[in-house]
Amino acid sequence: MSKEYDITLKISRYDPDTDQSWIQDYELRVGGILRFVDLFRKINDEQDATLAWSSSCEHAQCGTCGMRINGKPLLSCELLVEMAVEMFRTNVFKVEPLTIAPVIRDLVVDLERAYARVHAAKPYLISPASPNPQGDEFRIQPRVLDRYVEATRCINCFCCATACVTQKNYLGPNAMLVNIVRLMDPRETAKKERLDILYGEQGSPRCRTAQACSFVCPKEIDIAHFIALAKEGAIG
Amino acid sequence: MNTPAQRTSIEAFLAGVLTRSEKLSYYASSRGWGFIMTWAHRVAGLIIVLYMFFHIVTLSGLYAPAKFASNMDFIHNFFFGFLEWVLAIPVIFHALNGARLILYEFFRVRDDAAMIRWVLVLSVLYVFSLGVFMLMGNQHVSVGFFWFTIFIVSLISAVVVYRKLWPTRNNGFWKLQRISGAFLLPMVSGHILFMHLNYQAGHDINTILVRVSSIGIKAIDSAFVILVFFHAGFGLNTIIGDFVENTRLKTVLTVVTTVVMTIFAYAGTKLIISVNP
Repeated sequence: MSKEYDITLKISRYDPDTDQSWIQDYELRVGGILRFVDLFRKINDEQDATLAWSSSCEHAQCGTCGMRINGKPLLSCELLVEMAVEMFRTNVFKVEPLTIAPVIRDLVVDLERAYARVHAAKPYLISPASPNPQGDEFRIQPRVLDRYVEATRCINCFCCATACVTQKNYLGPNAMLVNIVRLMDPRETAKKERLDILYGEQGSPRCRTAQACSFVCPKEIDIAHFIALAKEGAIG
Repeated sequence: MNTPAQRTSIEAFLAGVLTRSEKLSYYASSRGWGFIMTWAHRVAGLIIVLYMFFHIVTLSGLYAPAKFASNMDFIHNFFFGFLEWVLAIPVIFHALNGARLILYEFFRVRDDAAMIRWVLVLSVLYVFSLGVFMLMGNQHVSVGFFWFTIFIVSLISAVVVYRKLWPTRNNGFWKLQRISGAFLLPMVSGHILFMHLNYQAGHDINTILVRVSSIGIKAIDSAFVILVFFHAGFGLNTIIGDFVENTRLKTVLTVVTTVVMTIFAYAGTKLIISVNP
């Protein structure tokens, strides 16, 4: 039996019908290994069915449950109560939506709007190279893959974009990574188009190297490192 | 949840002092120290820009030596001396933090926790040494040798960054911002140090006029002023671009900033070139 905690969640609420915003407190007695998504479900079941939040896989693979807890953007499906108590040294947690897109209701943001930036960075191979004539697959040498495999872990949870010091006129760290991964991918042949995005007005010149993206990334990707490689001209 | 930034010991090093502030503590735990350093860099830059305007206005008093001498007499007291010393804090912090960013972005110096420590430690050492020199007030150095050395170091610093950066596809002005920063780091720290080695160096009208009458000093100071205002103007336009979404407003603010910086750069250069004993 894990240790139990008396915690308070100060949740940012928003009702689009009345356009009202407020902070609502929820007192909970919970086990230390419960995740924050479990807490929201518990609130829905026992205290307030109207609290809106979003999640999908709940295994830190889809990025749907991203939110700010005591100011830090993170995935609520992988934050355990005992971890949160240790990390923030408190039993009171301010829970807010990500700032990357307009709030639809309570903790749910309009991810479609957020994804507009990712789409601008073209999250696909624009012009794939032909596969090897002897087979269907395109083989990538391990030493080539090693250079950018870390960046392929990105799940577009937008935690980095929320933490970023540049909030306007910038694609954002995850959209930059989308472009950088394809630039480093030997299957991509549309390098010039990708470099134009990379060094464009909303690209690398807007990065301030604050490294908040790397600091908060739930997938532990050193995003600032990849953007710095782009500035250095070591990509493409 | 344990990102590379969290694994470092930077929090342990700085926590005792800086996290006493609730705001700093909040951002240190939610965005990391790099985020705080970025904001501090911006604020320091803005303070320096404001001071540069004031500096050019006060230096324009060199056109009327008697009035300049009387102004210097007015500020010759502990209060203004203290202000001059305090001003060195944002200047040296901005310069060293800029070097940290250049090292991270172009020379793959990725141990940023150590770099942040170095920026803070060197800033403190510089400001402390400056305070000691100001209190002693009796240091002398060959003007030609000092400025020649500083200029050569600045030039080497700028050329090293230029060679690394120029072939890349980054925006030209963006590259010049880094290159000018690399030039200004030794230049500005040398300038402040020199002006306070003894009181006459930065405040006595005759000493200043004799110094700026040298063609070499005129050339170095002119390059200094032009690059300072270019760097300041680009920095301000960067901040504008980070916060203003409206294209028309952004264009207006960019034009205004560029014009103001050009005027001050022109006024500063004209002053340096035309003033003689």
